[in-house]
Amino acid sequence: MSNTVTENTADVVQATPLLASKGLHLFCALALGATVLFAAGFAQSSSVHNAAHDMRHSQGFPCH
Amino acid sequence: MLFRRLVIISLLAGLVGGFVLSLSQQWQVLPIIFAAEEYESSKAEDVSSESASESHGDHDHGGDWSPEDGLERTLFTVLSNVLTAIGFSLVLVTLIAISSTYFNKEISTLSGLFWGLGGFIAVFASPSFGISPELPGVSGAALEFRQEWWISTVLLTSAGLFLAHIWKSYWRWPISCILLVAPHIYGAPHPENLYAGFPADVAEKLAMLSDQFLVATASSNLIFWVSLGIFSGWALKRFPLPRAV
Repeated sequence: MSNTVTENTADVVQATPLLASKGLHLFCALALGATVLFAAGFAQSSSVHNAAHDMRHSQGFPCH
Repeated sequence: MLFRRLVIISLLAGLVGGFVLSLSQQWQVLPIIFAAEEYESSKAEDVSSESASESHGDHDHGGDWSPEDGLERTLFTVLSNVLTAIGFSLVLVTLIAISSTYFNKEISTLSGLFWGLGGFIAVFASPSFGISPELPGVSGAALEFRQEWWISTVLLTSAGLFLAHIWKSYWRWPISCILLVAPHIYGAPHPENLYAGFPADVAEKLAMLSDQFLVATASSNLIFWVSLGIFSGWALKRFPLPRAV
């Protein structure tokens, strides 16, 4: 019984730092936002450029 | 989970912001873009951009795919608006969460409004002082330099505003000022002639259109950022971030 408790605690302690790190969650959300913005606003692939053309001009992204 | 909550709120805020932006563009911004494209045909070739890579004389890049004018083009513009709004709201919502988690800043609909105004200053107003929103056909300096200057300006201005908000020391004022002003002292890259290749009368009309375009894009961006900020502030308060993840 006591062994079980000890093991569970150990699991929690090991699982905690990465998944419960607020910093990591916040960083990942920022990185996701930056990636989306890069794709929509700056990617130079011409199909992406043509699809997003009017948005890029409207938002003041340097376009051509 | 904090990440999931941030993403869900950002997706909702992005949808709201993207549709608000699309509606506000219909009023003046898009008609001005279409008017400028009418003039683009009178432009001489090979002077569109001083780009170090290939020169894009025509904005549709030759035979590559582009949406058909009309419904298809509008749909792709709305889609790009929503995507961009989701990207901006991910950053905005996360920065609000950081200021609340680490610096005990209050989250409310009103504080969201100020965050939205901050976003407008950092992402639209400050870069537009250097490089005014460009109309199709109008020349610019090499694209790479403009993009680098634009991104640096947005990052420095955001950092300056964020520091002024969260830092308690009096040092925040001089340091924020330096961050806000630095990109403009360095100076935005400009071409020798914005309207190179156009006949004089068309250049004059384009210059007038450019002024109107600045006012139109500024208005639609202000509406966009204010609604994004207000919605983000409201949603973060309504669905509070867990104290422990």
